[in-house]
Amino acid sequence: MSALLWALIALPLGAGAALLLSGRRWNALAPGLGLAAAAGTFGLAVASAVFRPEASAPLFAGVRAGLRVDGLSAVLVVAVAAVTTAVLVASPGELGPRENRGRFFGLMLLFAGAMTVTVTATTLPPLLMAWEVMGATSWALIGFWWHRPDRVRAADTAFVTTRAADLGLYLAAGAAMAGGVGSLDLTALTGAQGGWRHVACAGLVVAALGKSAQLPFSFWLSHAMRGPGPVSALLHSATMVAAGAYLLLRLHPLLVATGWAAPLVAWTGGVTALALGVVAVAQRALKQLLAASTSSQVGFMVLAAGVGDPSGGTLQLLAHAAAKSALFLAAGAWLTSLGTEQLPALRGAVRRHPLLGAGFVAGALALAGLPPLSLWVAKDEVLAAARAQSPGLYALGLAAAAVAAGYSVKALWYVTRPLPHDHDHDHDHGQEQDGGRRGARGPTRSVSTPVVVLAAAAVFLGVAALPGLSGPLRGVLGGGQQHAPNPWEMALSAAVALAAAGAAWWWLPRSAHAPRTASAGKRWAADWLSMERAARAVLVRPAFALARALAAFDDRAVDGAVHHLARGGLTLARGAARADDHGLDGAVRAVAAGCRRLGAWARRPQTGLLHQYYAQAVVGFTLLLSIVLLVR
Amino acid sequence: MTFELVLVLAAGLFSVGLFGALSQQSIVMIMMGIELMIGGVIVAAADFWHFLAPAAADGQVVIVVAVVAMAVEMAMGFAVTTALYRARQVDTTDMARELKG
Repeated sequence: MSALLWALIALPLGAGAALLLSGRRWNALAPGLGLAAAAGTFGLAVASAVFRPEASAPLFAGVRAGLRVDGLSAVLVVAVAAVTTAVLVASPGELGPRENRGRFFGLMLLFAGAMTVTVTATTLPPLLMAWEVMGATSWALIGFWWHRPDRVRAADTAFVTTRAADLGLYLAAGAAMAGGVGSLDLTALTGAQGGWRHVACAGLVVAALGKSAQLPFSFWLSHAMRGPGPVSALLHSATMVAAGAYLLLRLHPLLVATGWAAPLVAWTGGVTALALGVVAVAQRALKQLLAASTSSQVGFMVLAAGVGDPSGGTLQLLAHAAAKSALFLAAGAWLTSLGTEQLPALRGAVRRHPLLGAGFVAGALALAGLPPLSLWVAKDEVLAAARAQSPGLYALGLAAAAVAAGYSVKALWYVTRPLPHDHDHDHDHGQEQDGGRRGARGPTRSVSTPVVVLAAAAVFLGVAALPGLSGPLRGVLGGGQQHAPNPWEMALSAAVALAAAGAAWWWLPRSAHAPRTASAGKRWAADWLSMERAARAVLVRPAFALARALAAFDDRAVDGAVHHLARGGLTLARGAARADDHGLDGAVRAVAAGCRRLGAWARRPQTGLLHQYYAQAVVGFTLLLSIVLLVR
Repeated sequence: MTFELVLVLAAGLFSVGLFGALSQQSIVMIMMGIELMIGGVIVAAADFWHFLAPAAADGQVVIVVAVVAMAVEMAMGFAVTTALYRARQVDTTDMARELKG
């Protein structure tokens, strides 16, 4: 049975790697091959969900790479494969035949494969590897149009932010090792001894919150919007942001065991759901609104993980994945065909493409949490669990649900306006505003179909979780019945959602024509609570300043010493060379010159003339004689 | 007085020979000057032997050796001169300055 599981992860990873390496060579075939691989993965995922395979392989000494499809994994594996398939169906419309489709489809498959490994991993090492692969491929996908510097910067921001949070996983692995959990098994982490359990839990929570774009880290999602539409659709629904929520759902026993982590996670999720919902309301660009809403909706999943409601969290994850991928695909298609994503410029977008528009409307209504759609049901589950924990959390969640209705209706209101008469002018305006890529193509059927399918899933998934009909899902997830929402709770949340939606619908036409004097609070919310600026001020700038100071120290002190040493050595060598040239060499040369001069003198008497020799002999003898005579 | 007279004769012979050796151009003439000088030396040696140590035969031996040396020297000198002349038609010293340093 383990062969099934190996195939499940090998198919997307292998096909993705092959497509990625082939690049443009198989550009024409890439969509077909990618789609085939995704569909195959979906089939394998369904089979794994039925047969629940388990596999493991030796990795390090005493640590095995374990993979298992249990209830939670089964649901997620199918969801990941389904959303990936739907997104890949829609992708050719977004990426023209002249783009590097091999790279795109390869990266998408790698990304989905990494997510599959993440949700099936039972030990930390494979989870960590897949987590990293997911981060790296998300970077490559967000920066897919790397000719544009702003997109590359966006990818870098997203990557560095999630990567910084990912360090928590390493910390957790190290703490687990130190705490005596040599197998690094996820379920065994609870057994870590002493303070190491707290360290491991803190690392895992930080990593999960970063990946899920929860509060201190939310701003990277705003930048992640710069990537192609299908990337956003995949990244924001069943993968990446869902990975953090999944990890927290999976590790609920550990959160509870530490005592402090579960409430912390629950409150972080709740506050994120509310705060990022407000941010979403303040956005003027469709994709930015959807991004902030993703963070907000994932907040409900994190809240569910914190209060110990895996089935509610999973249901929320599924419903949100379906709704959000449909919305992002539609937004991406509009950005391609209309050249803008500014809400005022998107008036009447729904009427222009009725099928696509119908999918968008259904998805947005589901996102608003209106009864009887899926997110309403899921949210009620989560809220019921939250109420059991603390009334404050319940109120927070209810407020966040109201805000969710507000931002969904805001998006809905704009796109369902009648077509403006001077829409050409409007287009130009919008284009100026966002400088988007304008394509001449309209959204094709290849985009509309998956959008409609996903939106239908978003609408009808709720049925599976209605109190009377939720038996099968709970059976799969293995969760208890203890948090089934009361009828009055469901009625209350429905009333809140409807009231908020109605208020937003009533208020929007009045605000749209009002002079645009944004208050400071509104600007703050529109700027994603200035989180990025804060991160830059608190972390990035000091880090760069420190790096610069260290670089200067290195240049001046460390490098300088080496340079001075070298320069001193050079000077010394030059002095020695001068001493050698002028002293030793000079002496040798002087001796040689003297010898040569002596030789020249010695040659002078040797005239070759016999008479002169005789004369010299006479002079010599005379001298000798006179010396003898004088000395004697 | 004979001793001094013979010494004067030897000095005269030597001086004449020296003058000839220094002043003559022709190789043959120079060699003749040298002969005279050696002759003067031989006369002086014989004089010393005869008047100062007539009992010892050593002086005679020295004189005979000197005479033999002179004969050999002359034979060599004339041979060189003849060879030089045959080779290059040279007969004066100024024409043969190959040994210039």
